[in-house]
Amino acid sequence: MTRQSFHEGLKQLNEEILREASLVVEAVDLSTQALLKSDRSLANSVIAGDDDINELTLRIEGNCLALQAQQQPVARDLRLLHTCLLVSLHLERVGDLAVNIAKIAKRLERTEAAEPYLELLGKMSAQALEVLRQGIKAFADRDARLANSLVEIDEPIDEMYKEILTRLLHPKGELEAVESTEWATHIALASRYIERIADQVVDMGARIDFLVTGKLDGRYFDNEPDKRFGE
Amino acid sequence: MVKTAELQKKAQLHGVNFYYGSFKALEDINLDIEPNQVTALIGPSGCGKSTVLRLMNRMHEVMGKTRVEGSVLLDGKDIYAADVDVVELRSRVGEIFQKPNPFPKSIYDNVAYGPRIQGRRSNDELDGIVEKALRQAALWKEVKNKLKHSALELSGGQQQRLCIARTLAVEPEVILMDEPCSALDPVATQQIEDTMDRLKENYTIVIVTHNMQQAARVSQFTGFMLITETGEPGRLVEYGPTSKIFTMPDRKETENYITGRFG
Repeated sequence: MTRQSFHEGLKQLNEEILREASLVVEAVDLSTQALLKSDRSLANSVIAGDDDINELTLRIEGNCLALQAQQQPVARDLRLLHTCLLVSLHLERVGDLAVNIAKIAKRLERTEAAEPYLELLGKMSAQALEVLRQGIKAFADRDARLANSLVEIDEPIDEMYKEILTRLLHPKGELEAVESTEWATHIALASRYIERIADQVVDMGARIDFLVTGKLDGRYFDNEPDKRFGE
Repeated sequence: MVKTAELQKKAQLHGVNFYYGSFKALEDINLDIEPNQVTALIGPSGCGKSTVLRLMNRMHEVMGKTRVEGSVLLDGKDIYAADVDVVELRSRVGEIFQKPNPFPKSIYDNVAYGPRIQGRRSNDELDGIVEKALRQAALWKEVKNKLKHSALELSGGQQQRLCIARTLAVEPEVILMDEPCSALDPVATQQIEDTMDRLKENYTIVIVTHNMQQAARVSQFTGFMLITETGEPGRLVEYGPTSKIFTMPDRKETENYITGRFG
């Protein structure tokens, strides 16, 4: 492989990441719609579509390995390959979380008591989609500032996640009474999955920061929701 | 008066300009060589890497009309000062060349050549020096039973390690290597690289290489040199820890060169 075709390979890799990103955005969008509308067929299409994301992730990983083995990349090429591999894995996990949400959409019982929670979940998922879109934009534009600001866009999601858990544990009135353990678990898990999606993207932001600045930064590693919750 | 910080550097080039006749080959080279480290100089052909190397043991002086401006220090002392003995300097700063150049003598006599010139003549002492140098150059096991054979019978990689042993025998402090592996196959190259890695415990090594992966593998510090146009002097564009140069170079020119985006 010549140096020129190597640079072509890198371009192609970049495009594959953006393709994976668009599939993942769609999966998150559809899975949360399925949840909010209790739409089983939408949920099924998200579950079925995950195979495409997984296949693309595997292809990206294979391409990253081949390019590293054949070209001994350095500097920005090395950082791009390293970042693509990790970004691709973050995106793949976001896809898995969308599948988890779709599975809950199929099982969640729609009752009156669910409505205020679904409203919050709707706000959470809209915000999570915003974090995801900005994260992808940061990658596409090699924008370290945007990548580092994801943590701030993520904050309201963490707040809503806490609120949902608090309300489930301490229902305010008759309407919000928890109807069954299963029901409450589904709501809690759905909010947890949405919250995790945004966290994956925030971590992805740290990778994009590395791509641009070359600085390895572990500050997001501590930003686990388990630590944030229960304060 | 030499500052303490400068004493910690093995060699230093300060504001060095260099001329071959009227041609200015190097401009404003500033370079600190760290002790017991491998420093690599990389850059395209004709950028002055080898010239920088030769400045450090005044090897350019055998090439006719040349002129050095600025200062070149070894352990904080100017090697171009009037009282410096060039022969002694070159025993302190040894050099390995691109092509192995053993003398047409026995393996033993090649290694013993320098010490003999230094007046060390007892056979016992020479035997010890030869064995030690060949061991340090990772060649002893392969040649210990044929020390009286001609050095020219050895393979290219063995000849190059013999040249390293010949340099080590006079106990230099700095070893300059000018493309030491360019005439060698990958296995011999790996042996030389392994040898360099071990040698840096006791010596300071400066290597010029066209092979960027080699620079990335063997060195702790890397300098990138460049000429902007033919006829222009070579400059040191960037110098720093190898890990930084090969992951996040500061200068665009360095980035373009090491990632193959040049020309």
